[in-house]
Amino acid sequence: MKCRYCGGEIGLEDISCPYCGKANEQAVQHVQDMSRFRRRFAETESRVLSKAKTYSQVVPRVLVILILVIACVVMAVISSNAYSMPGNARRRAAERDPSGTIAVLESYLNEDDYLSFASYIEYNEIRMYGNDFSEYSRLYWCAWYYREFVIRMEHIFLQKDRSAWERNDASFDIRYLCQSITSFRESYDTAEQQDDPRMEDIRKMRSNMLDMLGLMFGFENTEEFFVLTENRMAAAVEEVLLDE
Amino acid sequence: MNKKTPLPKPSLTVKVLNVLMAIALIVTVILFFRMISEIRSASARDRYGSISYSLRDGSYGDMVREYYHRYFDVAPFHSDYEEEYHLAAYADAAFRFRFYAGTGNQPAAERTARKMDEEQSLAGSLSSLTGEVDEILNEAFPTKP
Repeated sequence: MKCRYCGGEIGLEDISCPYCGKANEQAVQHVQDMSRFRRRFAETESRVLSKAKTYSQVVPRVLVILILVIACVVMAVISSNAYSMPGNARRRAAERDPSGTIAVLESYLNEDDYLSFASYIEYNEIRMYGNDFSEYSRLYWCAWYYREFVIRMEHIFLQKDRSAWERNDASFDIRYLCQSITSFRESYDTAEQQDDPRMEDIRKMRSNMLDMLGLMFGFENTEEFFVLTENRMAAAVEEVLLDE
Repeated sequence: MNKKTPLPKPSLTVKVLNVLMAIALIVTVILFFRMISEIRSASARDRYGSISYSLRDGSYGDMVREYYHRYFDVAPFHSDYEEEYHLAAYADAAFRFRFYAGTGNQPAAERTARKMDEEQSLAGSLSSLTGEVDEILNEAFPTKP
């Protein structure tokens, strides 16, 4: 550029002309501008660095916390479902193959093995409504109470130490036995009213129960015993078992 | 000429996040061990039972109950308790055999007798206890097979 006073060649950053010594106003302005720009640049740089630093400290921490919270939720869900998971898996397997499951159930029924029938359904947690197994719903409940009845009878008569049993378990066993009879009776009545397609099997279970009561307790009129209230049943059984 | 700015002290947000992170970590560790313990305990409930305690107490009735409620013959027996479960199955079959024989249901009695033999052979070292089971049932049943 040229000096406005003497026309000599001067640089943009020369404060005064080296030929005439007059001040170079453009250079002064330029220096001021540069100084301002540098200051602003430094401020912006500092702000950007500060923000970047903050983000670099906060974001990873937030991410770690988020991951830990998700892990906590997943583990809490697994913990609370730990007990039902094996059963659910068995149920899914049984329901995925209804024809195979039904074949197993029918094999038990063909042998009048109602205890295994009930236990198989219970163990596999098979749902008995709105699916291929609905037909077995009432039969299952009858078989379930029948099984409880037989297991309780076996519990009563398979004791090595009778006196210990009389002291500790007798009243509970008798109460539970009578409960299983009355519950079976209710399921039986419902099945009969609804003309359940599996009524023949249900009748066999009832007949077995009556026979077992007659054989083990010596009741002459088991049909009469079967319709007693739970308390009267318990009293009758106690009389036989505990000589009360 | 860039001046080097001194490192700023951790902001309040970072401090709070550090505390939250520490809490989340502790809770995660606790929940992890709880989950492992729940899974182990659920698996134990599914696979093991108190059948050996029942055997020790001579309560074959409890063994049968355990057999039907927990294991049942479709479930895999744990090898540690296999003999106990076969003994329980024997006791169950022996009871039912006497019942069928006592009520004149011969086909069922024969079927159950076969089951008794089968379970006795599978009861291994506990097969000697089948005699005791028979003794208890012979005393309990009014009719002899």
